[in-house]
Amino acid sequence: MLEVFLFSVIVGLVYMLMAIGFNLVLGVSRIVNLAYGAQIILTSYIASTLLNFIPAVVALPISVLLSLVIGAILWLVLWIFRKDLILSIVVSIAVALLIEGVLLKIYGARLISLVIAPGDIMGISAQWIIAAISSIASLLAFYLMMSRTMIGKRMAAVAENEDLARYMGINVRVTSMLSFIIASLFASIASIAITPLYAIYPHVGWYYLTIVLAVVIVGGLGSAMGALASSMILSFTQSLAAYYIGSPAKDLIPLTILISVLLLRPEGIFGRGVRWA
Amino acid sequence: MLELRSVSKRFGGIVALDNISLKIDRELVGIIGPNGSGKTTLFNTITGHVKPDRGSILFMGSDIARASIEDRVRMGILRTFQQPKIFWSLSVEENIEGVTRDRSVVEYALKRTGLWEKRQRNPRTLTLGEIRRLEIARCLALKPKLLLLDEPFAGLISSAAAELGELINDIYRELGIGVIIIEHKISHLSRLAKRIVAMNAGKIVFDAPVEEAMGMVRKLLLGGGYGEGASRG
Amino acid sequence: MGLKEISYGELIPLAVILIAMSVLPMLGLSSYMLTLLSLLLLFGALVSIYDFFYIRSGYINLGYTFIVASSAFSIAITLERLPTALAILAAFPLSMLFSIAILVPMLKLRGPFYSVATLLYPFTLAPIARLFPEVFGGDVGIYVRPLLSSPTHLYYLSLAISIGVLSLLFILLGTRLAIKLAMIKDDETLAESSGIGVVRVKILSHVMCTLMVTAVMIPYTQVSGVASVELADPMPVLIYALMASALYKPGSALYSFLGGMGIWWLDNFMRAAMYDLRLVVASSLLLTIYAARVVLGVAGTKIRK
Repeated sequence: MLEVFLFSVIVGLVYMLMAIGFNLVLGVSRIVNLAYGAQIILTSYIASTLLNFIPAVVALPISVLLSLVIGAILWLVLWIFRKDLILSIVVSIAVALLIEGVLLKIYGARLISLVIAPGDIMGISAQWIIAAISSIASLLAFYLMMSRTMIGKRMAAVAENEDLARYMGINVRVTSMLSFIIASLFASIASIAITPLYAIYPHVGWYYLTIVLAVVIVGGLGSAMGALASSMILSFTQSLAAYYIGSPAKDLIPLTILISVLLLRPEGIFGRGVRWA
Repeated sequence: MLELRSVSKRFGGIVALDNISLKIDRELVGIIGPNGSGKTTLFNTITGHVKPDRGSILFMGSDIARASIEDRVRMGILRTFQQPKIFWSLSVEENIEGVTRDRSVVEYALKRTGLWEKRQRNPRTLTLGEIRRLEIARCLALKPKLLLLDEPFAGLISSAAAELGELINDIYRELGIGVIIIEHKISHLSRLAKRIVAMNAGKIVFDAPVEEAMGMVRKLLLGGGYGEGASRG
Repeated sequence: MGLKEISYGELIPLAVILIAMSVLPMLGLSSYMLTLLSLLLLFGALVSIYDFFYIRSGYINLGYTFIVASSAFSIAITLERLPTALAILAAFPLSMLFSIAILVPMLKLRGPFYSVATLLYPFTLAPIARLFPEVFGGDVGIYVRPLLSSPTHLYYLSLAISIGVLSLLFILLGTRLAIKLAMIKDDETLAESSGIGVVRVKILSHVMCTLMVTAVMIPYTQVSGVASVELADPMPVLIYALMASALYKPGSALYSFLGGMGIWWLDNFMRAAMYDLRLVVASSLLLTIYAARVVLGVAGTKIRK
């Protein structure tokens, strides 16, 4: 039981990491990036190929870097369409399908998994420890960036009021791109952290998207404590549902939570009443 | 016809309406006041776009404070908006056809507002004055008993403003309905309204016949303070 | 230019196409061709329905495939348990029951909120099907009892239902419902202030949409022989519907019908010639069409005013 508990905490942390990236893009760029789920699995696929040829220490940074480049291109596409929110949503779906299609073509529909660190450390799987450390480190770095650096303050300013930020001499376009790249970075780290725990296939990006949307919307937009709480709630409910009802129930949980919250309290349970419509 | 009894509304820390009581009959009333004085919130509470925190709103004897927007439209409370609002993707005629089944009503509303000849046009080709008239035509088609016009003259050149003022006055006389007009400037209302209600910071500053009101605004203007907003246009 | 001018100008070419299609089986086409043409017609109808009820109202329902898949399941489920006539009658209320779930966000949410919420609905079907395999057949789906054995008969049934759906849409175009949907799309607040029963219009259009989709899915499931969660995937139905309605004139029954048929034809070609690239090609096409609309400056007319 302790193992289930620990596993749920780690998965919850990774969920939070994913959600924070999505939320950042939503807040700073006002882009609903539905290709985010596809971005999450993309890094693991790149890494799985590179790991066949080069050691993990080199392969993982390269796969993250490649994902960031793809993220930057994706930003450019969505930036062009962002004037019309619904249009950009449709376009991001098209991009998600494009990524899924390419992965399907190259890797096929089978399940793949990443093995980065086999073995145990003090009875705990090394993979779990890596997942926990990388998510906590990323979350901390994000906190420091937002509170201590100029980039963080610029992003906060653009998120608060884009026009005002522009008058203050902030380059909104660059800030938006940066937010997107940081989000892609989080997606990549989360990808490498979670794929050793759950195997993936090209269609699974949609599932991660529902997780991200569930965390973001249940947690309320722009609320860090809300995101943490909702990530943990989601992860624990999933573990319990998988344990007591069966594996398909686990997939149904983020959707059920999400749809009920959207209908009952569109601003989220822990939210500060921020709406994105 | 319409009676507000100590209506209050807060938005966060801002008091938009502070204990407003107002009685309006089948008359043409002007409401003036600076930006943020609560004029539009007052309209919104009458039409149901905003639910008041306290107080009651009586229309033709029944309390409508909890009634839906649609119910109030059905009772004859109709409005226009500060920013011209029409259905841009529909033709002039379809803008009216959408709200009423009755062909003769469509024809009447368009002819009365002088838009019949332009009924096939795309509203994007209309002038601002014509758009304002289309908004009024939509209200006419819905058989108004109380017509609320939110800054109808804003942005109009003086000839178009005069034409619109005449139309409003004619409709008011023909139908014997209540008309409330929000304006920044008292000058547009001086020839139109018989009674002026001035608002500031969510309160009614004065409620007086138009001649008296003109005098009060002049006095306030000279004395500074509230008048600044009222003089801006 | 108003709504009516668009619709009557399209009636004649559409009638010509449909009449031409009704004589096709007499040319001795293979049963494969007839099956393919049946699917083309039905898909064209599905796109026209989507275009009318969602693109036209500005409520971009990304969960359309939820309605499509649950209608297919309703038909399969009732056909398995009831005599034919009764089963077909019962399929309609059953699919209504499913689709009430998706009506709720339509009444509560607007704009992107609505689109994202509806996108999630289709993804609930796969886990539900896996949890209740005895009802939904898990990942494989359930077999649909065949009603017509001859492909020619199936073709005529498909043609009849497509004509029925299109006629109904054309009749609706001339009614105030079409104007009201356009009003809601333009400005929901103003529609409310103009006494339009916004909630009533939404419920009415949702009910009609579900009933029409169910009617289309009767021959569709006969042709495919199976009702499965695969239908709930955004690809192909939603993606192709978004593509077809954006191809030329959004809110136009003729062009979405033709576009839908054309894209389905392309899809059939891709399935045969390059199955593993189908998703890549389809998504690139969708991107290209939308990008072209933005570049040409007509994007705004499609989804918002």
